[in-house]
Amino acid sequence: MFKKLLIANRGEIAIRINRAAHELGVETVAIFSEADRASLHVRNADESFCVGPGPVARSYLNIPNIISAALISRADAIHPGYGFLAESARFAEICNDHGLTFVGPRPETIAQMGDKATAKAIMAAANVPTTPGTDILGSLAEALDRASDLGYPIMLKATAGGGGKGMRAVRTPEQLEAAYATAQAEAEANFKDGRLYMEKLIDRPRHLEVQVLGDSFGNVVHVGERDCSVQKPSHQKLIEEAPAPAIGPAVRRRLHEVALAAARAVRYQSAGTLEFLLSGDDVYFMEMNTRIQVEHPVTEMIYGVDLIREQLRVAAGDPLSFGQSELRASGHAIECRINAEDPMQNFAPAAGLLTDVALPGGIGIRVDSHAFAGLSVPPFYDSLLAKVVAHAPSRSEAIDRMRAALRDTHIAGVKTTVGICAAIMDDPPFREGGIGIDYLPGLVTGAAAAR
Amino acid sequence: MALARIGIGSNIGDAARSVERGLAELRAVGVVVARSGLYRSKAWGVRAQADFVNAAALVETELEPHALLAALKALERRLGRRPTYRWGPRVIDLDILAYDEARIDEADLVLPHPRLRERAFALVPLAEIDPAFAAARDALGARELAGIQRIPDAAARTARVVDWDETLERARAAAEFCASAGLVRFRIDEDDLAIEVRRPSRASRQPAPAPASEASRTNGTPNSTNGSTAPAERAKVVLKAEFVGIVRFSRPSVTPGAQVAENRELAYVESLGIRNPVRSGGKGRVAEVFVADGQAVEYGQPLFSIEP
Repeated sequence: MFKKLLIANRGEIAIRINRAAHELGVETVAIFSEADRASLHVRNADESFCVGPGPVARSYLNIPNIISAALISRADAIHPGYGFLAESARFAEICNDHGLTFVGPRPETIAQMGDKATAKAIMAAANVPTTPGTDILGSLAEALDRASDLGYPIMLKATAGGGGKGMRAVRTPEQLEAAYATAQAEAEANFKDGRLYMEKLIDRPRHLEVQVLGDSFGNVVHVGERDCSVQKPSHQKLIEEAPAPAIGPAVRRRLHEVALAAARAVRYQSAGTLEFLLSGDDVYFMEMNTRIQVEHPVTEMIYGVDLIREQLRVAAGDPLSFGQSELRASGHAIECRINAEDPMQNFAPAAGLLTDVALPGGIGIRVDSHAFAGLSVPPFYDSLLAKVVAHAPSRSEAIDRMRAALRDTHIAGVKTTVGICAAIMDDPPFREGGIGIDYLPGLVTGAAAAR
Repeated sequence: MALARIGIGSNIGDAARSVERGLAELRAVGVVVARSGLYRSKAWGVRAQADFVNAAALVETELEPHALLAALKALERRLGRRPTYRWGPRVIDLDILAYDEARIDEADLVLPHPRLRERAFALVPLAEIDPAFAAARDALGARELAGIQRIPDAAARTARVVDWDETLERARAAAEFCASAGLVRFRIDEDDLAIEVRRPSRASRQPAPAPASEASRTNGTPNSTNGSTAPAERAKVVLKAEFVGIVRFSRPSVTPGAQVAENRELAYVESLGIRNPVRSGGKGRVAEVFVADGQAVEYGQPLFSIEP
């Protein structure tokens, strides 16, 4: 195992990683920006370095200062968390070049999965079902031609896009004619890469994903699926749960098998997630995230495993601490993201001083958070303040437990998502299970109309 | 981990450059452990095309053969290959010639490459880096070998045409990166082209706003945020580290009370092997030394204060 780990992140995930390292007897080094000097992740670590001013480009993305901090503190590994440098193949390579272990998959795996076209091609070769679609389009004429083969509606996508950016739905040839040039120009402006491709639009899908883990000995396991269909209009997730409700055993088994095949095709090492769209009983590969995800706790709760600990073990060259047959899910877990944002203003992020913070607890409740009363939420970063996770023997009990926990959650000073999460816990379609990704946008539009 | 032998070919535009680019991009599928020189040959199959340039590489890869094939095809598309008629002109062509000792015979993938032994243009570069194929190359007749010429490395370089728009674009990107990463100097070296951008080190010359306003408060002078514009004020200027690194005092090293000349280098912060100087700014007296020689410093850490 490593002697000292630098954690190249902030907020709740830096605290989460710090805790896993300390449990393993690994010393920790925090990095922070001038805006985060008073943060909890800095206080919890054994050492810390300020690496730049508030804006991310000069601090949490400042590779030279981060590497320098790791070398000076004699750290032997860097955990990137999620976001920031977590999916930068270049950063992973730079770590390796300086003799630092990057806690994540190999740089080439990150690069392969980061390029949508390459990822899709590799998955198709491993017999993983992908959304019917096209290669890079050469012209509008080719686009029109291929769209009529695929059948409308279709999704026009930028190859360099991701995270919900650079996509637009097109329902008729006229719309495609109107959208093509604009989409190209937008992609050029946003990603410096104007190349587009098309996929068949899967109407009202659910978002399911499968957690996988691989080690350097070729062992690959899946740790079940999660349902992340409660998404904001920006496609960012708000509520996640495991296992996925309202799917049959055949679909569940298929998801797991397909995810294992995909992970084996790239001999995946570390923790990763394969994201799928589910429409009826059809499963389509969307993308692979080559990092730990925000919603990993719901998987940890039902399987009783520590995914960050496994990431650290695998990176240090140890085998996974369990095989597939030792993994058994128990009960149901739900996570609500408590964000500093205003659901009634299209989830606009809010910054400011937290004047009051009281977080829930008790049986079956887990809270991952960096929030405390007196914390000033800077405007530069992700708006996540806390993840409240409820675990119970059944889904309906988990929902009831979450509803009670949210009543005990008091955050003052900024607008938060506590209220909307509580409302969703009481909403009959959510309680029934199996809602699509159009659910939350519909709910907030309805609420706005009612006002 | 498997060892794949990969053939690269191009016959459109600056073919030598396309092949070099293809070689560079192979890192997306694995670790390139060896690469051949570039070879020029007459187009094969269909006449009346531009000459081909070919090369070969040995790549250690984690990808299974089918996944590797798919990744190479995706790479071809990324490097601008458009589907054309079979054996037609192409920007870049990437083929798996062999994969470990694997024997595969499937509709979409046959390994080792079935026509490898007839194709001098693929076999000759491969034999240069993989002795296992030398015997097969030596078995080729003089006629097959006649059309194939190794491009001298120097010729490959002079054949390069500098695309100025692209070069300026890259210089701009380098300058942006340099500024965003807080570097003072950033250089890209490749073959005969070097791009270097430098940023004047503001390091340490700006008076720190906090102590200045502190001083203005005690002096009761409102709205003065910059010590140097109000000479009456003896506001101290605090020099801070702009890099995470080790601070090393420049000789002769200064102690509190020392008079320093304008722009004197008091120390440098060594970060990833680069010396980032810390200069005095205007001339004055060293009021405080906050750090010890050889100490680790973080971004924004006070190093010296100077009284103008």
